[in-house]
Amino acid sequence: MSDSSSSFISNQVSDISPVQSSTTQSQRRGSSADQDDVILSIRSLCKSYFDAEILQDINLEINSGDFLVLVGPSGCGKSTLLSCIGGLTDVTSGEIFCRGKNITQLDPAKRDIAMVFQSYALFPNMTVAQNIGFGLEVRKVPAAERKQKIQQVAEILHLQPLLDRTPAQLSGGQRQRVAMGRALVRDPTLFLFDEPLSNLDAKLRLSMRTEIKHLHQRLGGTMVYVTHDQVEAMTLASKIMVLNQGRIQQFGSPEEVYKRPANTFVAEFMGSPAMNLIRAKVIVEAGAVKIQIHREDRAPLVFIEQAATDALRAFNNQSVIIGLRPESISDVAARDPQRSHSAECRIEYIEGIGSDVYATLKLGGSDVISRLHGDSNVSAGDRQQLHFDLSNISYFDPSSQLRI
Amino acid sequence: MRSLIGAKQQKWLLLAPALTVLALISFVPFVQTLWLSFSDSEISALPTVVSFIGLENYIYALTDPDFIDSLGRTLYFTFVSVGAEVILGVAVALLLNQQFKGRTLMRALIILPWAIPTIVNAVTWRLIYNPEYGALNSLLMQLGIIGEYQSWLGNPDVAMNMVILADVWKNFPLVAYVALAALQTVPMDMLNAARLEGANAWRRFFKITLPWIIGPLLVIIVLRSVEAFRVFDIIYVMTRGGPANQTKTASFYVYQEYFSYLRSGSGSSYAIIVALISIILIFGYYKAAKRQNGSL
Amino acid sequence: MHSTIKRPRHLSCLLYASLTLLAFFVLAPVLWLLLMSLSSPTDLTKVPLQWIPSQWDFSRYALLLDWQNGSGKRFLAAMLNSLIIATSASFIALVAGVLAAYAFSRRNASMLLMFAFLATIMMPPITYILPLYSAFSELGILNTKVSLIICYSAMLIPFAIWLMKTNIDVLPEEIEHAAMIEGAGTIYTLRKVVLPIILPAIGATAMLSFLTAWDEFFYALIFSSDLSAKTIPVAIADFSAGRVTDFGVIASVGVLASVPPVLIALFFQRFIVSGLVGGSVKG
Repeated sequence: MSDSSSSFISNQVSDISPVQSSTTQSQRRGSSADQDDVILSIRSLCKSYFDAEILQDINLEINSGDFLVLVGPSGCGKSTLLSCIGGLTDVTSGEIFCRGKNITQLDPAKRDIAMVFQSYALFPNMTVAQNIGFGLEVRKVPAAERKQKIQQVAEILHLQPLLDRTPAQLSGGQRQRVAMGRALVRDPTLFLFDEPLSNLDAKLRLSMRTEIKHLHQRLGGTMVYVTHDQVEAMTLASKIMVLNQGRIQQFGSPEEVYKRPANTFVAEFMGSPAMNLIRAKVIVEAGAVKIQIHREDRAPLVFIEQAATDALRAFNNQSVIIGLRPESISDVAARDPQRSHSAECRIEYIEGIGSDVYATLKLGGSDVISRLHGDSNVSAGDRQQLHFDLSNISYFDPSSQLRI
Repeated sequence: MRSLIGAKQQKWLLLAPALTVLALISFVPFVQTLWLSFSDSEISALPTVVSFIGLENYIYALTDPDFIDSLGRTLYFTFVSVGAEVILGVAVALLLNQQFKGRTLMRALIILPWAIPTIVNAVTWRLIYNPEYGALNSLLMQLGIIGEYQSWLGNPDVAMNMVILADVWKNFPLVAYVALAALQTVPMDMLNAARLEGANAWRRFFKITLPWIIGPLLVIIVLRSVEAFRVFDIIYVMTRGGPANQTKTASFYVYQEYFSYLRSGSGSSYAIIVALISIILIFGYYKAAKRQNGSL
Repeated sequence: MHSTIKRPRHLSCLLYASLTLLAFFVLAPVLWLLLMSLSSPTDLTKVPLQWIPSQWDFSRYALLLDWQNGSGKRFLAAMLNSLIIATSASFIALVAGVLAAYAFSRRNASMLLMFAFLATIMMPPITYILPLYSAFSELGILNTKVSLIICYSAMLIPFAIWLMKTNIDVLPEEIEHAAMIEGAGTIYTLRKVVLPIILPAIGATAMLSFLTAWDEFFYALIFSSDLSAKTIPVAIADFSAGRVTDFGVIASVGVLASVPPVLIALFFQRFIVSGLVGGSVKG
């Protein structure tokens, strides 16, 4: 970022405009942008370790009740960012505010933040009750009150029968609950979760995910949650921040991130299977914007973009990358016939997963995955009429990889 | 990569007690000894004028054949006793790594010599070596190995070796324990593979086992050498440096220079020379430990 | 252990022969010390020796364990001094050691400093002794337990730091982070979380420190001159060098002085061995 000082100011008063910010394109405020409601605000945060820049110019703001998920591939800096918020890692530059108070240099113990660790980090020498009550004991809460609060939390998390056990006697899922109980009991300003479900098996992970979601809906609370699992991010978040190589790729609602990815990285990272990125050419003819996709075995696929922006028109006679989710290429007709295009395509190979059939075709020189109805009985080599739903199509600049 | 807020101030607070004690009891006295070694200081009840005499003490020390001899004896003691401890220690470790009945008991038993205080060890062996009523004389006589009682510690040719035997008895268990712990980490698969390839026991030991345990062994070898090089207590009790100065080691020499001849200046220069040789050994420890685990 | 191959007969013989030899080598001096302490003076001066006492003589133990006579007083005072000095020095070393170990392990204290600490105990004591002697003499604490407690603390601290550092290093740091996030300060975290977890290592360090302090001779020889501070090694050296002509008395002193360390070593063997070996094998 060339002028971080001006972006710092603009961040306080308005959204960063897409032109100014190279990567943080769609930084949107939550619906009720009430200043009193802001719980966590991070300004121009950088963290470097010797020569390695682990976090670069991180700006974000979340409101009371928000569930922010930091998502990205391993090594993207998401856990370091969480550590910085918790005060377990010092920052190289920038500021962190919690409820308007600058906590950048504040001791972690005084931040009024609770954290659930990936390894649960339970105290092995204490019982479940002592683990949950640790923070209260530190704060010298009277024993009676402490006991009552531990009981409350144990009830919410179904831990009552386990209160006298030690962590070694618990299963993975139970430890996870205790770790959450320890965080819940203090009713802190902010909850931090560092990949809390990654050590659980697949089935337990699903049920804990639902449970966390319910807890959040029931108890409120403001959360910052780190995961590398984009499905977890989509299901839990009210806001998602996608990070890669220490930089914010996109910050927005799950829907925004999923439907309007800010760049090809986000497009490919979010969603499984990933968004198809297809090379295409823009041709402006008599005011109409035509998108032309090269095909090896037959005439190019051409459709008309009816909602073309000026930015897209500027790419006349140039290549762009279009992004289409697998579910936007289907044997089932699109919802909006106005923004749909049909074409016969050759299916290269297929993969059935029961509920759906993923059929791979070749478009613009790359493999493109389409999602067909689970009952469709196509086989490799078949020709199939496919419907391209263009309502959620994305365009990217091939040189900058950014959304057009 | 992680550094906690306020870690720097805390670091020094946490270090403060240890640092204070070590500074006062080790660092400062060392510097004072260094200063004394360049002076003509003597221990005296009267206030004396101490003057700086440069390298004079060192030149004297390095041309003093008695001191050079004592250094040589100390090196001999260090080399032979540590060498014997390592050979015996590794052999015992190999033995105790076999399967046999009573292995646990045997492993517990060899901690005995190490647990007995050095001074008791020295006294015990002195009694065993006693020229008139000693157990060694009696035993060897009854076995028909010697014809008449010997003065083991009175004979300048063997006294040092007899002291070394006592030292080896006391210290080989430490080497054995380290070697045994290291042996237990040697992967069985590797030894079995070598066995299938037709390597005999001798070859398996030198090509697989020894290279595997050499790291921890090096650490303990250097540690033991550092300790052996400053040997004092066992000498003090067993021989007081005799006979004919044949067991007078460097530490004992410096002790006498200080407390018998009261020459603190020249004594300090001897001490510094001994320290310098120790530093070389300590550096060897640093290298060995670094090789062992990279962290220090 | 899955080596089920049966050992050939001749190897078996060799093994047991070596074990017998080893057992003899290790046990003989100890047993002889014990026998000497229980033999009558006439048995001990026979040529060749009367190995098994013609009659058991417990009189030296009675003598040594009696405050009322000279030898007993000298011996018991020295035992008591050693006990006080070794315990106090070990305690100081543990407290200072745990704090410093935490600084090295978790607060990025320089490894070079750690090495400097370790180097201090590898240096021969003759490089410290004279300035310490003058300083103690000026402070008027020569021939007191305090001077030895301070010296022994300095001797034990680096070693305690090293042992505890290797044990703290392997703890998952997240547990301490959790405590801090929960609002605990460093000392609180150390006391309530870290120390309970590394309790076995602390035990091992305490035992080893005690044994080392119990064994020390050089400082004690120089800094103590009478019953008020003399430790048991110095007392033994006195007994063996002095007027005592009965080997049995010297042997009894040796046996009694060995009882505490040998008991500690045997009872806490696993502890101590892992503590001793831990530093060199695991790092």
